Amino acid sequence: MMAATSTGRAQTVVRRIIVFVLLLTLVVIAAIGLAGLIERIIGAGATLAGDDAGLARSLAFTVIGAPLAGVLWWWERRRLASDVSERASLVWTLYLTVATLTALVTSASALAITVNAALDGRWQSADAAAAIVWAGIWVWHRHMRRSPATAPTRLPLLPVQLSALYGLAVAASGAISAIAALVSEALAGVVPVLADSRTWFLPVLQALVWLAVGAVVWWWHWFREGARDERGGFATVVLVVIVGASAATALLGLGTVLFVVLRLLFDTDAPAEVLSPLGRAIGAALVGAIVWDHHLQVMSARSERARRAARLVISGVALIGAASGFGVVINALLATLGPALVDSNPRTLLLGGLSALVVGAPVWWIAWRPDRTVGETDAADPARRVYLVIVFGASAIVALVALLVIGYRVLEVLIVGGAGGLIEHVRAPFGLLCATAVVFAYHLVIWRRDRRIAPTPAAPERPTLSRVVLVTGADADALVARIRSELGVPVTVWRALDDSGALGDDAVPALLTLLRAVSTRRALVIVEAAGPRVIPLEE
Amino acid sequence: MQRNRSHDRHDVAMTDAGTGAPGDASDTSRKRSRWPLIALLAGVAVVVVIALIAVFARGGPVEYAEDTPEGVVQRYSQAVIDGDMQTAIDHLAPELADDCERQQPSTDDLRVTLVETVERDDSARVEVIVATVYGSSPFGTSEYRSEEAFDLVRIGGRWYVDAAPWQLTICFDSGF
Repeated sequence: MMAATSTGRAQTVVRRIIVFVLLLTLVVIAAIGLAGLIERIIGAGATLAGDDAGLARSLAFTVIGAPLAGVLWWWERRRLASDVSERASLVWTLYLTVATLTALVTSASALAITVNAALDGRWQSADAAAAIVWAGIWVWHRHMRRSPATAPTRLPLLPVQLSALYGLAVAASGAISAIAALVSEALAGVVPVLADSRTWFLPVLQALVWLAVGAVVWWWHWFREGARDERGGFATVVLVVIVGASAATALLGLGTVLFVVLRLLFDTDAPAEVLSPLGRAIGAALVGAIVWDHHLQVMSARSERARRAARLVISGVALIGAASGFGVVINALLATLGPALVDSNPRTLLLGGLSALVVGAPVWWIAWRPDRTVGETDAADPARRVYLVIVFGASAIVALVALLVIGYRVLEVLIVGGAGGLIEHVRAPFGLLCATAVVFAYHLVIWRRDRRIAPTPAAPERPTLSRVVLVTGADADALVARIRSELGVPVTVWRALDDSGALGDDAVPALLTLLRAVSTRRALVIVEAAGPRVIPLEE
Repeated sequence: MQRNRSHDRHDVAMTDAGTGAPGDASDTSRKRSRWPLIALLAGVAVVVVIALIAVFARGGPVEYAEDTPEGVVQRYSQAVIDGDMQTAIDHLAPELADDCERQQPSTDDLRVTLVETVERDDSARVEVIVATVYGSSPFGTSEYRSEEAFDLVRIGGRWYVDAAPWQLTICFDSGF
């Protein structure tokens, strides 16, 4: 019986995977065919010599792909509409996510490329056709996701979250490029342009097109489709990732701006060379800060745990910056000791390290707040523990690689000779090793203090109940909800074949009392005609 | 330092008012747990200051004497990097310099570090590390390092470059 059920389930899962992979393939084939046909229609005037083989391929893809996709979808749609478990399947959600994102990314980027080519005076019918066809596929899949008959019930907002993320990334990089192009134009007095095949505002306009496309995609999914207000676990992870990535972008941008300023003041290189990364750095600092600020505001409405996680991520990003900067400073210091015949200026190296250190360290201080009193709850916070473990793990990996390089070079000198090149070879890994050692030492102290402060999870007198398996023949939704709310324990329901033994409302308090008295982690509850039987289970 | 101490005292008063005796214990443990941070930050600050002094106070690489193989390699390399071709050619062995078909060396930043010198009667080999620096950022430079060698010959008591690494070559395939 059990074997038959599990075989049936495995068969269903494999069937779903095959159906959806097939559907995705057919949709892509039909889209390529249709795009090819539309390209021929809208680009007809520009064709100098006909490509009949291409026409045959487009026709074949359309004529075979589209009807088959339609038939398969008609068949699957009936299943989705009639069977709730089909809509609750993870495979369905994954299909919708992959198809929606593919359609969105292809149509949005094809649209931006078409507009950009048009700004440059070219008409690219292939991209225009792709934008039209894939936009249609996106609308179709959006309808699938929202129609009551086919809407997925598991992670329904997954495609929306990822689409918003894509829109944000495109908009941010467009904005950074636009600012970079503007700044480099503004610097034309210092960095003279000798020749340029394009008018200066074209790069700015093209970046603005990407910004506009990305911003519309982001706005639509973030506000209209409700990605901003989603509170689930995945939504929180996405939010924390965005906060971390935008913080990293802003800090890197700020560090580079500082680096350029320091080099202008103290370095001897030509201004044109020094100023070349300035535009992109200013863009990254500004756009990263705006994105960071917006998501911190969204974050402020979230749980304390989520906010703490975001702060730890920022602290980690800043720590990486500060530690790398310190490593580079040591690297520069060692560069002054080597027997150099011809130098590239170690000042550049030192100024770079200083910029990373000066930007990273204060942000780390603000996010981590090493001066605050760490209470018992802080010390026992799992996110903080995970953060410390990640810091240890990352330090260990960096230290291992650095040590291997240093060890190899030292042994090479001992065995082969050539001691003169030792410092030159080991100064970069040695800098990293020193920075890692500082980071490791500090966090080790924190870790040990946390362990001392945190209330030791006293071995509980008796383990608390953490799962109930309920075997019942009747519908047990009300009972499950009651156990969940009263005891706060997840309940797994195993339906018995015979439907004898429903539990009356008056028997529920007695069952709850029995469950409260259970002294194991798991308990089996069998609802029989005579009343419920509670069986504590061994670990 | 003064501020720190008064801050601590303030905390003691607060905890004492709240919980009594355990406040002292947590305060001493806090004081004890704070010194590693102060020590590490002080260490970082000291290294940064030393690096600043070392980098900004020194004049440039040590200058080797012109009658040594290292000195010739140093002058030749500096001339190539500065684009001073006449000086560079002056350091080439005469038969190379005479039929030199000039080529333009790359404009990337180069750093040449001495590894060791092997000197024989009339020839020498200077082993170096040539680092080509492609770009720099706050997280260091992106560079490609390789170990190379210069071959030198002694003619009439002076050292001349006979073969140079490709990064520092100025003549098309003529013995180089």
